[in-house]
Amino acid sequence: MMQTIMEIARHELITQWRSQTLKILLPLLLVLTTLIAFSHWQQQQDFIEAQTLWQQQNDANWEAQPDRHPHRAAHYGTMVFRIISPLSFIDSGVNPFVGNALFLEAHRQNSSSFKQYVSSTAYMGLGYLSGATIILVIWPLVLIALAFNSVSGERVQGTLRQLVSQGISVRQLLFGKTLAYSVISLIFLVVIFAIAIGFMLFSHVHGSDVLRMGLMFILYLFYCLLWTITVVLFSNWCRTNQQSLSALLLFWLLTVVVLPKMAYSLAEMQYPIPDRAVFDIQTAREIAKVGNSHDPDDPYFTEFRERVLAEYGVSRVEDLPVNWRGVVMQEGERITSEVFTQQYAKLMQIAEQQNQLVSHIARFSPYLLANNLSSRFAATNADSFLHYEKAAEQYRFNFIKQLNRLHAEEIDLEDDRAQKVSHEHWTKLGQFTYHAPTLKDESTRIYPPLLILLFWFVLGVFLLSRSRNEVD
Amino acid sequence: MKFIQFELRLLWQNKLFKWLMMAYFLVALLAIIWGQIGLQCEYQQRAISEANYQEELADYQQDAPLAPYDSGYMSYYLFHPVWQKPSAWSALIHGERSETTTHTRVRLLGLQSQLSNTATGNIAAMPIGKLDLSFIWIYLMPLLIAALSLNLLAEEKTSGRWSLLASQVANSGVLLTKKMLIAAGLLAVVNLLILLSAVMFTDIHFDGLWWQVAVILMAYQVCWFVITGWVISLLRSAIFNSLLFISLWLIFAFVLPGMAYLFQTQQQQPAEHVAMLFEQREFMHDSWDKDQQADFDQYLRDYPQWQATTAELDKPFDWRWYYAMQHMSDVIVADAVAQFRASRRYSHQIGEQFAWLSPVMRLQYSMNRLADTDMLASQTFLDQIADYQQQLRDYFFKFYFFDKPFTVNDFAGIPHFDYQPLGQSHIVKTLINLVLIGLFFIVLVLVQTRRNRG
Repeated sequence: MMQTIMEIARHELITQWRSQTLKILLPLLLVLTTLIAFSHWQQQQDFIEAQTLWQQQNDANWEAQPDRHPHRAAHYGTMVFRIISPLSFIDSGVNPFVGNALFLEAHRQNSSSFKQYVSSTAYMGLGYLSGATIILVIWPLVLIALAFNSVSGERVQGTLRQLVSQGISVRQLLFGKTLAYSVISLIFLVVIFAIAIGFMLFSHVHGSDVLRMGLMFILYLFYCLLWTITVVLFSNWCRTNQQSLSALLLFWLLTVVVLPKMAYSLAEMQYPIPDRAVFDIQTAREIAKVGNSHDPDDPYFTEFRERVLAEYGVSRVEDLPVNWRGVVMQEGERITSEVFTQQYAKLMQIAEQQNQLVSHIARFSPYLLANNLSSRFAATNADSFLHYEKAAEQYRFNFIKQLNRLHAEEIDLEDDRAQKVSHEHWTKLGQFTYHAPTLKDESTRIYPPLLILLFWFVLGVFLLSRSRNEVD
Repeated sequence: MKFIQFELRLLWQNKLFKWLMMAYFLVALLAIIWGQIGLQCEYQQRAISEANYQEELADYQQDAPLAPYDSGYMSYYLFHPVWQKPSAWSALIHGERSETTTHTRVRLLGLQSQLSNTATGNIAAMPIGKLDLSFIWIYLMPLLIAALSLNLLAEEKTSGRWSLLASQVANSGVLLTKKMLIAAGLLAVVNLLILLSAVMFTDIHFDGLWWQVAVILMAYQVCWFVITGWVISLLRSAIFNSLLFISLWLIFAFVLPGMAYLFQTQQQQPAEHVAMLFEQREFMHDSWDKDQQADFDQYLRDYPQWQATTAELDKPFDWRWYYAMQHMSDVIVADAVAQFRASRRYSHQIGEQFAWLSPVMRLQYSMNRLADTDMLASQTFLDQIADYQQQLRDYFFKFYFFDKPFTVNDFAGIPHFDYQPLGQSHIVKTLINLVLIGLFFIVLVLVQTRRNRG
């Protein structure tokens, strides 16, 4: 049985090798993908370099500050520049759409600003042009173009009847054809990844990046296999070549283009997210509900004062061993940060609800599932961006806390504003070191889409193996 | 007339044709309704921010009249909402509106750092994008046209009617053209129905803009029918036709837009505009460590309209100096902001030039302009915010610099932001572009027909 399948695959490959479609499409797509991957790699390296330089300049500026009041330094703040994943050049994920510079200051939580480029991405309605898009969106079309008539053609020409009469079952034929087109996909992917590895050798690569890249390769191969099975099955089910082609194109259009867009539009309508202005208002209102550190009669801060006075066993703020203003500043910072984190979590929860709804619909679109996994493996998905922002907020809070401590301990309450602390303090504040989540951390997010993809694969193989010997 | 009746009856009997048309109409209707719901959501958000703004003003009003020191505080805490008010058409043509913040709040501080805050939407949705009516028109309609007409000839041949028909008329090409015209006419009727539904379900009016959209939509439709006609004129198999058509569609809708983006980004340095934020921040904070009186004197020399103020600053802190330095922090980065603006415009321009090669891109640029949802609109919004801040400055500075108390009546005079759309449309350019592409393919058809006869 295995030998027959191999023989069919070999025969199909020879036929395809001689056909014009493959001769034109494969080199064309390889050249296009390589060119795009090369430009993206170059842009990625330029961007990483630019971000590193900005970070260095920011750090140097921070340390070069003169003697200042710590609260002035807290308002001066600092900036962190996100370094994108070295696999962005294959799957750019959300990178072209988000800001990459984050200004961290006292009292306020800013959002990431400044996209890598100012150009609009809105004109790429079928998807951002990248290696991953070519593999996930365009390659299925190539498979359709190559294989839509792989079985229906044999049937229409009557060769299927001959094959069956020679003792070859339709099932063997389908597996053989599937194998042949999988080999073509494999060749395509191997060439692309060989080139990509070449690029990677020129950059700073960690072991985990190699693993991630390996996973991407396996994912893409698996995705191509799924499409190959789909095309061969459709070709077997349809009576004519034209029918098979039309049905496959429609299937592609629905699962790759229409369904994903529909899913996100529907989710957005179902769970609307407050816009920038309303979000800022909601946060400000929640903070005001707790207390206003600038209001001397504020009930929360009056009670807070009593508590601090009791803690130190004194009756007046002037008698505190620490600067009362610095203590209030830190309490205010704690409240703002806490409320902001809560409000932001609410916002993210709505986004999560949207994504949940999409993930339900995604069960029917292998493209969405693979797209989700691909950007996760590449560490370019929305989660990795949000993880970074969260870590930066944590850093901001600790950073401002250290400055507030300086305020409380090094500045006297009397004539507070006129005093300064030595610039030597600035170098003592730690810099932001970001640790991206590992694949292990994300495993609970990886398994569900992977399992659904596996389900489709098993179903596909099952359908292939249950195909009956119908020759007409 | 009989021919038309016959063909119509034939089409009506064709199940695929009926189903496709119906699906197209229903999906379009759905997109209209979703778009309108989204637009209403934007209006609701706006109502929330306006109510909050009025509430805050009322709070301050209770304490009026405010001494200049207190009204200085007010300006520090008072955020004024600014909104890039969406046009009625943005419900159908979302354009670039998700890419930038369209509704935010600004106060009397350095503007650029306030404008760099990004939108709050679900970023996971961004790479996939929205299903709005413009997507259906621009990307999916060409496929519908192909499905309706690409295999007219092939089907007739299979059914055996073709040889009969072709023998009855002298020119089979004319017959085919007539058949395509009927399909095109029916699609045009459906598109008009969609446009009329838009008037019914959204705030769109039956006005000049409606006609402009209708005209470019019809031109776009004709353009794709001509492209399909060329594919048919090659007289190849139905399969070859489908593959060639889908390749053309991919080139126009995926490869060219992607290449255009790549080309645009190659003209830029990554993250080059961060300098804007950097410089503003450095200036703002350095000013605290510098001779404040000297800086203030310089400011009064640069802006003589405020010279009548008391030249000496209050100690330890004076709002006049504070807001003057905030203003100067914007002046310092004016060049960087102008560069950012030029960079955006240039990038948009390159994209538009690429659009000459692709009807898909052209229609999208054109529609986004008509709906005021493109980069030009977003830049106009930013420019108008800068103007608005100048109005706020002019208004509030009078109280701070001329030592006037802020009375109850002065609240009514606070300038209000009202976005004015750019009001340009590129309809002529669009029509010329579509006609040129159409003509190109008509020439190809004619050449091919001659070759077929020869």
